[in-house]
Amino acid sequence: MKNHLIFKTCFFLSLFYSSSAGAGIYIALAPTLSKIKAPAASTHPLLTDFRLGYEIPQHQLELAIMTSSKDDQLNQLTVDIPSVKSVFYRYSPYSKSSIKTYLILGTSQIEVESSYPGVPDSSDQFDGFSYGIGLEEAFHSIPNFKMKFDWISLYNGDQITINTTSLGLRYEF
Amino acid sequence: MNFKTYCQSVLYALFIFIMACSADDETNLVDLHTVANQDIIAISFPADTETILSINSEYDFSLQGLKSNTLDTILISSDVQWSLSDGAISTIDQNGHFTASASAELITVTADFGFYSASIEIKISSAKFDRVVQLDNTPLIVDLCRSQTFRPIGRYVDENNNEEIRPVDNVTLNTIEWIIRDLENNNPSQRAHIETVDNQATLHTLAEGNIIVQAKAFSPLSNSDVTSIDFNQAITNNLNSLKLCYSSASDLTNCVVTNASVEKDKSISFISVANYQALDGSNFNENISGNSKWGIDDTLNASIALSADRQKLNITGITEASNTTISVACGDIEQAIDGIDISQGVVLNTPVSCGMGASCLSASTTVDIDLLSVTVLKVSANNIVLTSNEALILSIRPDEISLVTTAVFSNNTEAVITDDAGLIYSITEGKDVVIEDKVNYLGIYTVLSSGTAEIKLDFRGETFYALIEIP
Repeated sequence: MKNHLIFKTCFFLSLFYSSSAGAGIYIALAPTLSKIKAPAASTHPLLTDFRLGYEIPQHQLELAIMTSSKDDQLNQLTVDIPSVKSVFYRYSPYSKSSIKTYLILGTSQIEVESSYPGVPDSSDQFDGFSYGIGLEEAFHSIPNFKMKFDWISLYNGDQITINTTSLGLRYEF
Repeated sequence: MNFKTYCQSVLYALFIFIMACSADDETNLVDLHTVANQDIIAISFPADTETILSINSEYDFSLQGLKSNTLDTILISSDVQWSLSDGAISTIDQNGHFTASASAELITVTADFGFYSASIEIKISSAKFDRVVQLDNTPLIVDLCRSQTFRPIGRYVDENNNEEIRPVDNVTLNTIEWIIRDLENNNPSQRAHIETVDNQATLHTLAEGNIIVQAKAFSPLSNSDVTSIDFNQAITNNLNSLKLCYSSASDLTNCVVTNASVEKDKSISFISVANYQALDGSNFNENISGNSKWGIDDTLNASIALSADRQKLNITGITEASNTTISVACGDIEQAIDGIDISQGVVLNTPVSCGMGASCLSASTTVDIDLLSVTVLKVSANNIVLTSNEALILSIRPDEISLVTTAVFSNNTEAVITDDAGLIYSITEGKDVVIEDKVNYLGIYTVLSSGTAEIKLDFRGETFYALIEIP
């Protein structure tokens, strides 16, 4: 799995160094509320979502690294998401409006740690196809700065679903 | 890199990632959420779980969980997976409802809750029921006007003449005829009755004293009805006080009934609340409506009846502007109840009272039967329907304005109230200029001149403004 990630990262970074008219690199940062939904109950660890991306008009490819901000508790169960590694492709249809909407497709690797009295602490990893939608709007005074809102289904399994909701900033270089 | 190549690269990258995905094991996280949701750290079968069941009988298994505070135990009501050992002919559903096979077998019942699992060995026995040999595993201690569930113990005998003493199976339990007599005179007792509902027997007591209980049931062993031996049972009296409360009361300690009233054809509900002293010396309150004796002093003014679950008494008003007294007692009342089927509750058409020195407490309250409230007043003037506060513009000046008023009552009935003494008329605009009262005629006004006339009509708190423009 580690080799896969190295490959994925190298492949992604190699795309940055390709030249294209109107293309550019951006970064984004957002506090993110996750929801781990199981049949009986849900938990909601908090994450910090950092993204590095490459953009050509209407198309964006980005690497997302999310790290834990705060674990969540369900009675005596403590659940945390130490890391999420994702690659997203974002497509934003042309729009005259200042608010742009976009679709998100990608893949994610989510690590979930949990502890409960009387059982050993455990760590589970979930890999899956991700999809979502988002909105963003540029600040009038600093057009390179954009406020963005994302909802992404990171993992959709047989019984477990993991999704995130984030509100943050994106800066285009 | 041109755009086509770029898109291909993106798709290729996604493909690599998706292919890298594997079927993840979600079991651990699912189980953790399941057990954490109910805060359980251990599970087990309750100590009174039956381990020998009769063939063709049914039984509801339950699972209990130890909360994370390691003190409290609760019944786990959801997310339990029930299963039987391989080869079992008996069946169990996912609610724990077990149906025993038609032949003897030994099986294991397993309950899985999250990552916890508990199992219990069950013997499906073909031993035949003989008779009830004990009222319950433990002696019953029950106060008057209370209810106590119990599980009778039966004697079963198998084909090898081996005896099994175990709780009576549900099939047999539901067919038991309970016979209760007073100990001192052997007469049929009005002190208690036994009710079997949902495979659960409950002793309901109405008065203090010693009773004899017998269980009569069909015995497949002897192929005849068999009556048990006499079981002596005491009904004790640790009753401290009795009071009436509204059925909506949630705080039984502080609830009271004050200024009770009900409209004609409408109902209010009372409960009888008893305060008992527990064995440990503490006091507690309980709704004992179903085991109380209720009475009313005037059935022309109101009627009373216990609710279907016997958890409250419903009082329905009959005669407006009257009152009635509702009384309740727990214990030996002065009134005779010999001919009453006490299993349906005791409700008398006379007041109930406790005699001097009797083992009994009583309480009572007066209920006023109010006039029906009015929801709407309908008014017409000279046969034209009016709307309150909306002017009726006449094209021809009449000699008189004649109002007809109809009241719609809270019980959805209607009545013309034009001449009712409770309907108050008052001219609020145009008095003695546009219109004036016609002496001795309620609701009729003589027209004096053109202008606006407004008449206010009040009836049982409902007001109507009749506004008329006279040319």
